[in-house]
Amino acid sequence: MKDGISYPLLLAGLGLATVVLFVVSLLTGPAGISFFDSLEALLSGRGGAAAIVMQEIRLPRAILGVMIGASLGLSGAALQGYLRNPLAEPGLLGISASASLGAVLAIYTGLSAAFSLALPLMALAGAVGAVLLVRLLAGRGAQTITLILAGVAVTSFAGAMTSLALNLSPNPFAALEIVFWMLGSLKDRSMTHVWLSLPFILAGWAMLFQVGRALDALTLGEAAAATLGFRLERVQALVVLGTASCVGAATSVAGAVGFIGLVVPHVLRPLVGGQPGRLMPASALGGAAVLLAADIAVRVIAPERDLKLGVLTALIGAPFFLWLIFKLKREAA
Amino acid sequence: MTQRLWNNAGLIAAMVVLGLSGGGPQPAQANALPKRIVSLNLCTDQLVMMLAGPERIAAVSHLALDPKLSVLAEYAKRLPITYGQAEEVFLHEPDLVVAGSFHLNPTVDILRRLGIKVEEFASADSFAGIRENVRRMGRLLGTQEKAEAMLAEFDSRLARVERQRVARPALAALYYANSYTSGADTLAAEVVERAGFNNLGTELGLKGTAELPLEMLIMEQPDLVVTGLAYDAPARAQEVFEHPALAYLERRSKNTAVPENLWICGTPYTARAVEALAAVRRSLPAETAAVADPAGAQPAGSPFERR
Repeated sequence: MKDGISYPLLLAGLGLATVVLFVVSLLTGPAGISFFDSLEALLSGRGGAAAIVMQEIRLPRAILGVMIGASLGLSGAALQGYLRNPLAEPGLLGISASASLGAVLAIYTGLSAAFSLALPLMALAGAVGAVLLVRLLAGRGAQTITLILAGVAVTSFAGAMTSLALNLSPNPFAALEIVFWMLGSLKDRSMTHVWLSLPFILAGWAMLFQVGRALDALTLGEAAAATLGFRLERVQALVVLGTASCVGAATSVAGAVGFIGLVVPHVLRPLVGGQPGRLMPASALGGAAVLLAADIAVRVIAPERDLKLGVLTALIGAPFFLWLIFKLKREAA
Repeated sequence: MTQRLWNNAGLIAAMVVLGLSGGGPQPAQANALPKRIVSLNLCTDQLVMMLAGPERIAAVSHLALDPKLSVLAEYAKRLPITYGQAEEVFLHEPDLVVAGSFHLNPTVDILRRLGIKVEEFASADSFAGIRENVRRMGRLLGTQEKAEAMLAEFDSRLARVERQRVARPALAALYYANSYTSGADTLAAEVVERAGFNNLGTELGLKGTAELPLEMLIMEQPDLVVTGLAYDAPARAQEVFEHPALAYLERRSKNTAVPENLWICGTPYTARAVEALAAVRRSLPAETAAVADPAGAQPAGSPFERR
C-alpha cells in the first residue's frame, strides 16, 4: 500500500487496542478491586471473593466480548465481500434476529436445560434459515435495496416471533427478556457460556478465513472468480455456514448486537486497499475492540442499570448507516 | 354524547359514594356493606379472602390462583377470577372494587366512570403499612374485629421472634432473578431485619427494589443469601441462580429461600416469613462469616462492621 499505514502495522495496532481494552474490561466493575489486587487474584486464583469475581464474572465477560465482537466484525466483512454489497451485515440481514429466535425457542421450551448444546445449535439453525431466506427473497446478485428489504422482512418476522414466544412463556420474567434478545448484553455471563459458544465460534472463523482469497477474486466478478478456479458453491456454503455458526453462537449467549458488522469493515476497508481477504482479519480485531469498548462503556455510564450493548452500538451505528445510505445515493446519482 | 352521560353518571355516583363514606364517623352500617366485592390485585386479593366470606367475593385476580404468589391459592379456586379488564369486572356487577395503586390504572378510571366504587391500596412496604392496609380493608368490608384479631396474632408472632432474637445481627443478602435485591424502605428489608439480620441492599445504600451486581454480592460475602422467586418455566432471568460465582458463595454462606407468597404482599402471613428467617438466623453459628473467613478474603475497606 502506498498511502496510509502498512497492513502488518494496522493489524498490530488493532491487536494492541484489543489487548488493552481486554485488560480494561477486566478492571471494570462495580466491586472496586484495585489494579494489582485484581490482576493477582485473576492470575493466582488466591484472594477468595476477589478471585471468584475476576475468574468467574469478569474474565468470561471479557473473553465473550472478544469472541463476539470478532465474530460480528469478521462476518460483516465476509458478507459484504461475498454479496458485494456494502450494507450486508448480520444485524441488517436478519441473521442475528433469527439466531435470537432460535436461542429463545431453545431456552424457553426447556430444550437447552435438558441438552445444553441445543442453545447454540438452535441459534445456528435460525441463522442459517435467515441467510437462506434472504437469498431466496432477494435472489442472486441482488441489488442493495432488495437485499436490505429482504433483511428488514426477516428481522421483523424473527423479532415478532421472538416476542410471541416470550409472551407465551408461563414465566413472567420471560416477557421482560425481549429487550435482551433484541439488544444484547454480557451481564452475568459465565465460563459455561464461553465453553458453550467457543467451538461454534472457532468453527465459524475457520470457515470464513478460508474464503478470503475467493472473495478477493469475487471483486472481479463471479465469472472471473470461477475462471480463477474458485468453486462458487463452496464459497457460498462456507460464508453461509461460517457466518451462521459464529453469529449464531454469539447471539445465543449475548443476544443480538447490531451494527458492529456494518461499521467496522467500512471504517477499515480504505486502510486495507479494499481487499476482502485482508479486510477480514482486520475487521475481526476491530470488531473485538469495538465490542469490548461498548461493554466497558455500558458499565461506566450506568454501572447498576444493565444498559444493553445494542443501545450503544446503535448510537454510533445508526447515524453511520444513514451516512452510508446518503453516500450510496450520491454515488448512484 | 353517550360518553358524557356515562361521565355524569360516574360523577354522581362518585359524589354519592363520597357522601356516604365521608359523612358519618362510623360508615359501617350493616346494610351498606359490600356484598359483591371484586379484587383486581394479588395483594388486595389476599386481604379480601382473609377478611370477607366467599359468599361476598364476586371475583379475585387470576394471580390469586398461583400458589407461588398467593397464600390462599387453594381457597381462591372456589372463586371466580378476572384478568383485570374493565369489561369482565363490570359484568360481575360489583358494589366494591379493590385495586392496587402502584401504577396508573386505566381499568380503575373506567370503572369509576361507570359509577363503581373503587378503593385503591398501596402495596405495603413496611409492617406499619401491613397494619394500615389490614385495618382499612376491615373497615371497608365491615369486618374490623376479624382484622384486629389477625393483627393481634401477627403482633404476637413478631413479639415471639423478637424475644428469641440473636443479639448480634448477621448479614443477609436478598438476591432475586436478574440480580435484583431489596434496599431500604421495602417490606423485604424489614422482614430480614426483624429476623436478626442486616440487609445487604440497605447497607449498600440501595433504596427500593434495585439491581445488585453479582460481583458486589460475591465481594460482600454475606452470611446468608436469600434467593427470590424462581418459576418452573425457564427464563434467562433465573440463570443467575446457577452462576458458578454464586455457587462459590453458596459453599461458604448459608443459602435459603422463603416461600414468596408469604412476603410478596404485605399481609399478616408476612410474620411467618420473619419466623422462617429467624429460625435460619438461630441456626447460624454465633460467630458469623466475618470471623470464619481466612485472612485476606475480606475486601479491604468493607463498609460493614459486623461486631
